[in-house]
Amino acid sequence: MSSPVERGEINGFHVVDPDLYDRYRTEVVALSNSYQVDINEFLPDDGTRKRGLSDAEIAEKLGLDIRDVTEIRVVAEHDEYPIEEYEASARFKDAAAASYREGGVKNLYKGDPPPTRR
Amino acid sequence: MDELDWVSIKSGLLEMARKRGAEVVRVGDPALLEDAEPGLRPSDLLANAKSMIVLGGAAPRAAEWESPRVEVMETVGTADRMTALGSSLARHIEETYGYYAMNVPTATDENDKAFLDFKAAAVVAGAGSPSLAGPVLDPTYGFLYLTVILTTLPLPPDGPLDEAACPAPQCVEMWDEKGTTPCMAVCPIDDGGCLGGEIQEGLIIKRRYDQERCRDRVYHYWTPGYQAALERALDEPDARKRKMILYGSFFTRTMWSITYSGVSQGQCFECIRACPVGSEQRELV
Repeated sequence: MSSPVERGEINGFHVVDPDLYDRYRTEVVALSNSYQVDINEFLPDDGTRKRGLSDAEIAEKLGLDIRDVTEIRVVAEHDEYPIEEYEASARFKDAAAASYREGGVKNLYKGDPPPTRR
Repeated sequence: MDELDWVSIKSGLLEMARKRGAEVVRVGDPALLEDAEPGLRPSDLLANAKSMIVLGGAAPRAAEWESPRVEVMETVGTADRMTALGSSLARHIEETYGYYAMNVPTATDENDKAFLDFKAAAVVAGAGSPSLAGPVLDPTYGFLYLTVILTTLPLPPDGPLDEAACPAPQCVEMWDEKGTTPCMAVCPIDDGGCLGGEIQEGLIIKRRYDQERCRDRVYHYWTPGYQAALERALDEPDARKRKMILYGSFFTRTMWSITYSGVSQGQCFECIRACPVGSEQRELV
């Protein structure tokens, strides 16, 4: 069990070591609520349903300092997709909205967004 | 006070919330959230909270859904109207009844997490049910913005809905025919989107959700977009190109959106646009 950490120690300007980030990024994200696989309330309570772990729980599981876990998770969550994802997102939204305007909720957008936004 | 008084007080509070614009008003038992992730539980915020009042409302207007300009939807999505209503109700509880009442902050807590598991709070109060798309859905109104008031006032809880809004009958039919649903067809997790799942005998039995991609779309011209563009600018060694990034349209719009953060919080609605739950509310002439 890691020692208690004061609030200021957690959300002060603690910067994670990039090598530590590279090493644990995948594990931390998988244990957190970031990429959710079968966690929701409506799923069967037969072991299928589970929740993401808190940073403290992840720290204990991986033997890391909670401050590093928090920083690894926050950085990884924002680092998952590059800026190009935002242009793809704009095209997606335009195409999906256009399908709706043409035929309402029954006229589903089926992919293949136009190559440029306008 | 006897039981009848609590019922009357609850009725009065919920009626007040409805008159001020809430479409859905329910009360949940905060003890039911004690198995949520540590840090996202009612007891982390207010000791001895006895009730959780969940208000839903302020959905985008039908004309906003109908607009040919996607930018309209990217700009009007906000929880602020419900937050203001929740703060008003919390103040009324404290001043009228002398019980603690906190409108849970809708911003992020330290460590970039929410203050409470809002979705779980809404579900246990019956202010909607979970969905494959992600948002809690009210059977009549579909997607709504939420606010949660934690209070030591011991109101009788309503409890979860008896029947889930998701999957809707149309979605079960589509799943049986095509192996997908409207929301997953629009935003498929295995093809550049955010949503995945399976339905069996009308019930959702599996679900996958790419929270990062969803956040990049929902907060498109906001903090995540700002960070991504700034990183690209800092990495750009050519000062002239760097200037084009920093003064360009994406970065500029992102800065404006952050400035007007009270009105441009939700910037992607495509899974809900395709959702049949509450869609009749958007069909006007």
